[in-house]
Amino acid sequence: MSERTDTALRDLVTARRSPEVATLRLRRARRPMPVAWEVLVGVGLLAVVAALAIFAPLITPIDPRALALDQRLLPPTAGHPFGTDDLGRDLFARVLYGGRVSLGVGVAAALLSALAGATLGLIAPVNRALDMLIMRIVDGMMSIPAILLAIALVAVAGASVENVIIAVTVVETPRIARIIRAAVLSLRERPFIDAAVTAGSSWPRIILRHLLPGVASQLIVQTAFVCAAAMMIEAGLSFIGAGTPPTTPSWGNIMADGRSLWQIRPNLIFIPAAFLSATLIGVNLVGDGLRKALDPDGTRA
Amino acid sequence: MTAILDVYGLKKHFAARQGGLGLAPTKVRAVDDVTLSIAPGETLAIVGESGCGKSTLGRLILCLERPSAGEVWLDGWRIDAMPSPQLRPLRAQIQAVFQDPMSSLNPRMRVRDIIAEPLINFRLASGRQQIDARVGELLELVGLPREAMARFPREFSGGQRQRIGIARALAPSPRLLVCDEAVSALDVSIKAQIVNLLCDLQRDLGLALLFISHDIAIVEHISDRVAVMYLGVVVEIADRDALFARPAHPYTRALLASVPAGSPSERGRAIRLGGEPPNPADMPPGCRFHTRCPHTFDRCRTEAPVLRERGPGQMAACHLDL
Amino acid sequence: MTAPLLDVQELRVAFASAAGLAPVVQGLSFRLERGRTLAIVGESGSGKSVTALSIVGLLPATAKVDGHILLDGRELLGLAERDLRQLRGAAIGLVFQEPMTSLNPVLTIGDQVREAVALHQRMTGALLRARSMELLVEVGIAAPARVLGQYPHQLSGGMRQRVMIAIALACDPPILIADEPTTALDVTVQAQILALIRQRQERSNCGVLLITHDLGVVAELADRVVVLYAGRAVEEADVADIFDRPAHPYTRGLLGARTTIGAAPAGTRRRLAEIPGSAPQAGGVARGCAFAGRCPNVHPRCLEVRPELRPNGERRQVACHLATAVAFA
Repeated sequence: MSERTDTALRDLVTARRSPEVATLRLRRARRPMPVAWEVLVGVGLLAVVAALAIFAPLITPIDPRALALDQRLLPPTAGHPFGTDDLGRDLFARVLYGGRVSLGVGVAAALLSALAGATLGLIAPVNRALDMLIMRIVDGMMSIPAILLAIALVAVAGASVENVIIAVTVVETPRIARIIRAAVLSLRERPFIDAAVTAGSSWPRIILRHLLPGVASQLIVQTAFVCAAAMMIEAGLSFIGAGTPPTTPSWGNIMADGRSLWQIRPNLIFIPAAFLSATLIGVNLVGDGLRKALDPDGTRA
Repeated sequence: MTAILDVYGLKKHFAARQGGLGLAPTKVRAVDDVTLSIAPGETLAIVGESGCGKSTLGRLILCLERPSAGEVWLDGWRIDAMPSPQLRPLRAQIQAVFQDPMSSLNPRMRVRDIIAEPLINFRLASGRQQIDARVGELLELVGLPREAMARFPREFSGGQRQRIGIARALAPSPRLLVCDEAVSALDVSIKAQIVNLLCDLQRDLGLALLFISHDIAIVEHISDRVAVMYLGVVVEIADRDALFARPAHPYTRALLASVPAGSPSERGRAIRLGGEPPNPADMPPGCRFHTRCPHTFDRCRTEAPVLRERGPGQMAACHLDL
Repeated sequence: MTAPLLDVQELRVAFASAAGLAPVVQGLSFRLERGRTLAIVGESGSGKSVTALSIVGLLPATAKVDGHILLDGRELLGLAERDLRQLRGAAIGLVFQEPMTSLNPVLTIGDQVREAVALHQRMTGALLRARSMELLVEVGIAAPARVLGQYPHQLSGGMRQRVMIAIALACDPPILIADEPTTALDVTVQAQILALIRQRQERSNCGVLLITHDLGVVAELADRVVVLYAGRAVEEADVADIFDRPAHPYTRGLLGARTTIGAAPAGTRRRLAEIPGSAPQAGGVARGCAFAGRCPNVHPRCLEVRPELRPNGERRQVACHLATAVAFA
C-alpha cells in the first residue's frame, strides 16, 4: 500500500489547486425532455378505463353476476346504460368489472414477464454455457402458442384468472428476455464495464449497478408492449373459453357470450370490444411515447 | 526490491476461423511470448502500431482476459489464474485509465458514485460523509472542483472526463497504474495537461506506470523505459535515453523516423517504411518484421530472432547489430 | 498575383437548435492558390471541419451559412444541389478522416472508383477499367487488379485512405480538401500518406486545403497556415513564420504542447507546456477575446474588446491586442 498518510495527501491537494479549478466551465445540463403527446393521450385513456374499473362498485350498484331472467336482452335504458345480455345481466356492470380482470391480467403479466425476462436477459450473458442453456429454454417457451398452453393449464389446474396470468407470462417472457440480453451483450463491451471490473466490482454488482440501469429504458418500453399483448391474449383466451371462468366477467368472455346474438344486440360485442380497443390503444401510445422519449434510435442502451 | 509487476512468457491466441471443411483453423497470435517487469515507481511505456498487441497485453495484465499461456505476477502474487473472489481485493493495487473518455465512465452514474465505486468495493471508506470527503479530495488531486461530484459525465469535456477517470483509478491508492492510450483521444493542448498531470501524480504518489501508446513522441516525455512491440512480440526494450539516442531495432528506427516533422525545415526527412503490417492471422516465418525491413537477409526469413542485450539497459530482437 | 482558386470571405456558420442559433464559424476568410497547400489548424470545437463541409455544401439542413465562397470567381453558397453535385469530384476532391465510413462497405473498390470516374467523365468498359487501374497505381497500390475486386473491410486503413485519395483525384480536380486525412492511421502509414499527398499535389498542381489538429502534419505539408480558435481565425501566416515566430499566444501554446522527439534532454523529463482550461464553444465568450481565459499574457483590454485580425509584418495577420501593439511599438 502507498505510504502516504491522510495529512500528506491533504497537503498535496492544497499544493496542487490549479487555476483550472477556478475557471471550470461545465457544459449546460441537458434540458428536460418535453413529454411526448402519445404519453399524455395514452395515460389519459388508461386513467379513464382504470378509474371505471377500480371504482366500479361506486359507479354501479348492480352485481355483474346477478341473473335476471325476466330482463334479458334489453336495449340501453336508464337502469341499464348498456342494456342486458342473454341472461339478464347488466352489461354496464359486467364491462366495468370486466375491466378489472383485463387490466389486472395485463399489468400482472407484464410485471411478471418483465421480472422474469429481465432476470434471464441479465444473467444469460455471464457465461457461454449459461447463455446457451437459458436461451434454449427461452426458445422453448417462445414456441408454445399461448392458447395451447392455456388450454393445457386449464385442463390440469382448472380455469382461473391466475392460470391465465401464468400462461401469458410464459409466452411473453421470451420477448423481453431476448431484447434485454441483446442490450446487455452490447453494453457489456463498453469500457466502463471493464472499468467496473478493475474497480473491484463483482458481477452481481455490475449487473445491478451498471447493466440494469443501462437497459432500464428498453425494459420499460417493452413492458408496456407486453401489457398490451397480455390483454389481447387474455381476451382471446376468454373468448374461446380457455381463460377466465364464465362466472367472472372479462371482456373476452362477455364477447363470447354475445357472439351468437350480435345481430340482435350488437352492443354485447361492440361495447366490450370498444373498451378493449381503447385500452390497447392507450397502452400502445404510452409505450410509443416512452420509446420516443427514452430510446429514440433504438440503439441506446 | 521486488518488481511490482512481472510478466513471463505471456501469450494470447484467438481463433480467427474454426477448422473443418479442410480448412485449418487460423490463430491470431495477438500476444506471443512477452516477458517484462516493472519496478515500483517506474514508468514503462509500451509503444506500437495497431495490431501489435499492446492493448491486449494491457488487458491481460489487468486480468480482463485470461492468457493462453504465461504468468502474470503482481507484487509477488500470481494473478493470471487466480479465482475471482481471491483476485478482487488485489485489484486495488493495479488500476487503469482507459482510452475513450466518453465511454469509460458510466453515463448514468454521477461522478461521485463513479469514483466511490472502488472505495466501496475495497472497503476504503463507508458512510456518506467519509466517501464524499475522499471523493472530494481525489477530484481536487486531479484538478477538478469538489462540486463536480454531483454531476453527470456528459456535463464534462473529454479532458475533464479523463481526469475523472484518473481520480477513480487513484481512489484505492494503487501501486501500478495502467494507462491504455489514455491521452490518444484528446486534443493537443489537453493531452499536454493530462500527461503533465500523470507525471506529477506519479512523482508525488510513487506510482508505477504502464503507459501504452501508439505515439512514440509522447512516450519520450513520460517514460523511464520503453518496450516496442510489433505483431505480438517485443522487438526492443531499453532505457528511454538509450532507445531514443541509439535505437537498435530497425522497426524502432522507422517509428522514430516516421514521426512528422517538428518544423517545416525538417520536412520529408522521414525514412518511409514501405508496405503494410502483415495480417496477424497469416504471419510470415522467421522475423515478423522481415517483409518491411530495409536490412533483411536470408537468416531473417527463416529464423525468428530473440531479445539479446545490445548495450547497458537495452535489448533488441534482431539478427543484425546495427 | 493570380486570382485565388478558392476565395472564402467572411464565412459564418451557425446551427439552429432548440436553444436558438449556435454559432460555429464566425467570420472566417482565407484564400487558396493553385499548387499551394493551406492548412486550417484547430482543436475540437474550433469549427474547422464545418468550414470544409460548407465549401462543398455538405452541411445538414439545420445549418445557416453566410458569407462568400468563390471558386475561380464563381459563388458556391446558394448554388443549387444539382450544380454542387457537378462540382464535387470534378472541381473539388474530398478526403475524409474515416475511410471505413466514407467508403461504401457493400460495394467493391472497383465499383466505387469507376463510379467516381464515370460521374464526371464519359468513359465506359475497358477504358474505364484501365483508368481505374491507373488511378490505383498512381496512389502507390502495388496490386491494383486485386484491390479493385476487394471490399473496403478487406483492406487496411492505409490502403483505404489511398483509395480515398485515388477517388478524390480521379477527375483531376483543381482543389483537394483533406479533412484530418491521417488522424486515424498509424504513424508509419501516416508518413506514407503525407508523402503521397505531397507527391500528387506536385504532379497535378492542385490546391490543397488541409484541415488538421496535428502540427506535425502541418509542418510536413503546408505552405500557409490559418489557426482557428472558437470559430475565428486568430493567426494566419506562412508555415515557417508560424513555427519559428508564432505571434498569437494560442499558436505558441499549441507549439509548446506538442510532443516532438528529442525535446527532452537525456536524463530529464521535460514538462510539456500546457494551456490551462479548455476551449470555449464558438460564441461562448460574449465579450473580449475568446482566448483571454487561458492566455498567459492577458491584459484588461483583452476581456473587454475582441481583437480583430490585423496585419503583423509581411504576409501575416494576428488577432491579438498585445501582438499587434508590440508590432507597432
